[in-house]
Amino acid sequence: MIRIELSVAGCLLGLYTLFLVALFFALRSRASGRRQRGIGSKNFTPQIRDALVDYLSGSNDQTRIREFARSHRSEFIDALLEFHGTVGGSARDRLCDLALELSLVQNWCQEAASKDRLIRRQAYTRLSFVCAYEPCRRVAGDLLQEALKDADPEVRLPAARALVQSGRIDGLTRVFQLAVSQSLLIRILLAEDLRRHATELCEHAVPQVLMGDNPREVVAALQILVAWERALPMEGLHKLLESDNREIRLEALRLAKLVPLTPETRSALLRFLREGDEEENTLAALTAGRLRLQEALPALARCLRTGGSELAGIAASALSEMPPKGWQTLQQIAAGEDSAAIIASAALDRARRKAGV
Amino acid sequence: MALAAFLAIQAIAILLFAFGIGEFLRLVRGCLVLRRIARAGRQNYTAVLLKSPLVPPVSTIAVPPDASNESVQFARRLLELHYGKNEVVIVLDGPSEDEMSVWHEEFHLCPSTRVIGQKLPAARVRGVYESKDPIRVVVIDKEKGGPVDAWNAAVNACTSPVIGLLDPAADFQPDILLRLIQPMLEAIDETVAICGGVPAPPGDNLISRIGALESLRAWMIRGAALSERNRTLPFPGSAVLVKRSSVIQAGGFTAGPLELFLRLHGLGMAAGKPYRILFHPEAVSQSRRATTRAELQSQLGRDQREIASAFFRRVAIAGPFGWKVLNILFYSRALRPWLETLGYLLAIVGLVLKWVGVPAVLFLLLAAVGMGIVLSMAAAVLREFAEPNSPDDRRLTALFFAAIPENLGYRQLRNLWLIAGFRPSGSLEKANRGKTKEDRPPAVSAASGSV
Repeated sequence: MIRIELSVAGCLLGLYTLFLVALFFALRSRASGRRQRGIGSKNFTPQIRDALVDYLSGSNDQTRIREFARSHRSEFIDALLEFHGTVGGSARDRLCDLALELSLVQNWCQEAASKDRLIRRQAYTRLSFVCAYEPCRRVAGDLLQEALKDADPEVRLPAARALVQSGRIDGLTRVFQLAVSQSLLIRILLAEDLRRHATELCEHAVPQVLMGDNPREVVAALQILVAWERALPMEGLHKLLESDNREIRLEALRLAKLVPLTPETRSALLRFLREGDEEENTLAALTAGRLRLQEALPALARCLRTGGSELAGIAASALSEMPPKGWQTLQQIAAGEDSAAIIASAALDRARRKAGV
Repeated sequence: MALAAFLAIQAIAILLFAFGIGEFLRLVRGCLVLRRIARAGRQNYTAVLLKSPLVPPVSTIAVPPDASNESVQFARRLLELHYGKNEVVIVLDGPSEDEMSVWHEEFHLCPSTRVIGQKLPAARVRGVYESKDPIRVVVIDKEKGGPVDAWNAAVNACTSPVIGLLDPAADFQPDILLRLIQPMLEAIDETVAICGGVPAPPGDNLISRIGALESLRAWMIRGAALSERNRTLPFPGSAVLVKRSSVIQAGGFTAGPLELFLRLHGLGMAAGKPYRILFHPEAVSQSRRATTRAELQSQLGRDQREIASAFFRRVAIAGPFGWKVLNILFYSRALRPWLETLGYLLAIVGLVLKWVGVPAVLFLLLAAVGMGIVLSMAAAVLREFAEPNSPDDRRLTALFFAAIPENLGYRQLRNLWLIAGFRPSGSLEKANRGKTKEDRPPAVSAASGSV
């Protein structure tokens, strides 16, 4: 009996070992082969980069470039794409034109139709770089619009980024709508690209989403607006400040400092300082300080005296932004002996140092 | 007696064989997961994430046991991480005056007005300090309560929605937070935590290669294989990002990250709502290479104590789900060493007293040593197979052949270390004086909310 078990175990282990040894030799020879052939080592990248830099600086001799594009195509493409984000204007156009001349753009358009999502992803990522150039966009045609419906978010993202490059309002609107309906990661990435089109988007696309009935998308849209960190020509913020949805109210409060102050927004802010919960108080205090709302002084003083440490600190900072009345209020509070006095005193010191008093 | 010994050896060998086959299948599963992740490829968006105000802030926690140079250096390494909004929270657990002065001098501390909440029970906070320099560091001086108590005090002090737990004994990259937060942002509502890192690299000597094999097996099984069923557990050298709200809902720390993850899995399973604990096999963090036997023993012992503590308190931590998550670790880290050692003893005694023959002993050796070699070789080969774009033939060769000496001597010694390390830890109160609340299993506590 034991001999049978021993034989079975021996055979089984033998098979395992045989399989592993075969795999070991196969992987080892593949890896060492790759190493010897220099695959993935990017041996020619510095020379390709030099050739591209020469070309970008005005040289019209494409002999070396064409040679690299033929003999080390993959490495050449990687080197070309490395310029993404480092060149702009006419230099970028020249690079995109080169990609067009070398039929790279046409190849990427073909690859964009691949059933393999990895090839598709790569193709759209590459297209997103060259689509800043109008002739390349013409070659890409409707591919980018279609890709926004792709099931793979990693395809939708580069397609959306490519569309943003066009700067056309219909494309921007679609990308903004996509951004508010996707994951936070995609929102972050697209918000960055959409920032320079903020003014155009605030005309139609943004109000359209903000007036919609999907609270998640409204919150996402507000988050994007806040992330732009720039003054925005937007009306009707007070309606969002009065929303029943707390998330929307909080995001609208964060946005209040970036949009023109209307009487309705002003009174909403003061109401939040008086009646809101701790988080609403904090955000309202932050905004009141930024906008230097003198009417908010009593409410800020109350927040400093009665609020938690974060709220008290922000209220004190807000008061310190509004000399002389804000400073006087801080002085009065600093005369006490409680924790609010310490916070007020610290804020006052900081403000005086900053003002050189 | 002879028959009993013979049957016992036979049964042990069959069990060891079965466990071995199970572990082999898990390694294959881990390999497939790793291959899928490698093929899917992930774009690196760290440059955008670094600048974006939409990325959630992170609080990284340090609980230094003293004010030694290593502790200060670790805190400094946390401060040097590349991240837009990273706050470092250092909790000093009952420091002496000398220790306090070291920290004061290092960071130019001044009293802070920050009020520390009591979301988690912890010993009394004596003082809160911030730096006069333009660095985001908060130092908490609290009464002595043990390391777990200090972890919970740190969670109380954190103001960010995400907490970073980095291992002082690991090497991590400066952009670790950016690279770990990116997968979290893909599904921020469902993702509770993420655990990232790679196994320790093999060195030039045999000890370091054996250590690398240990690390590799843990990474492939606890990280990759378990992630397929959303049961990822932290592995040695891994770095963790976890949502603060989830830590608070889990009742805080009861020991290290392993118990925290067990608790989070328990809560997630009990709530029945979708939740994700991610595995991120990127080279953001890795345990240090063990170069001596003592270092290897210390690394293994530390890991084994964490596993044992989690296992013996699994019902309190994760209710009926504790066994579901931990059974794999129990077989490989508790049962297998016992069975092997018992088998060797029986074989020696049996051979001396002529109760058993050579074939039975050979069968046992095949199941223990032979299977051990196969498993280690499989880990080395399957890892390379999982990384089609960056194979490393030198690493492969070093680990593949280290599998043989690893199982001829070291494995038997390791069994004794594992047996010694797998015992219940001290009582909860000893580890966490401030925590007086009785732990409730997630099946009960999940009723009050989800993860």
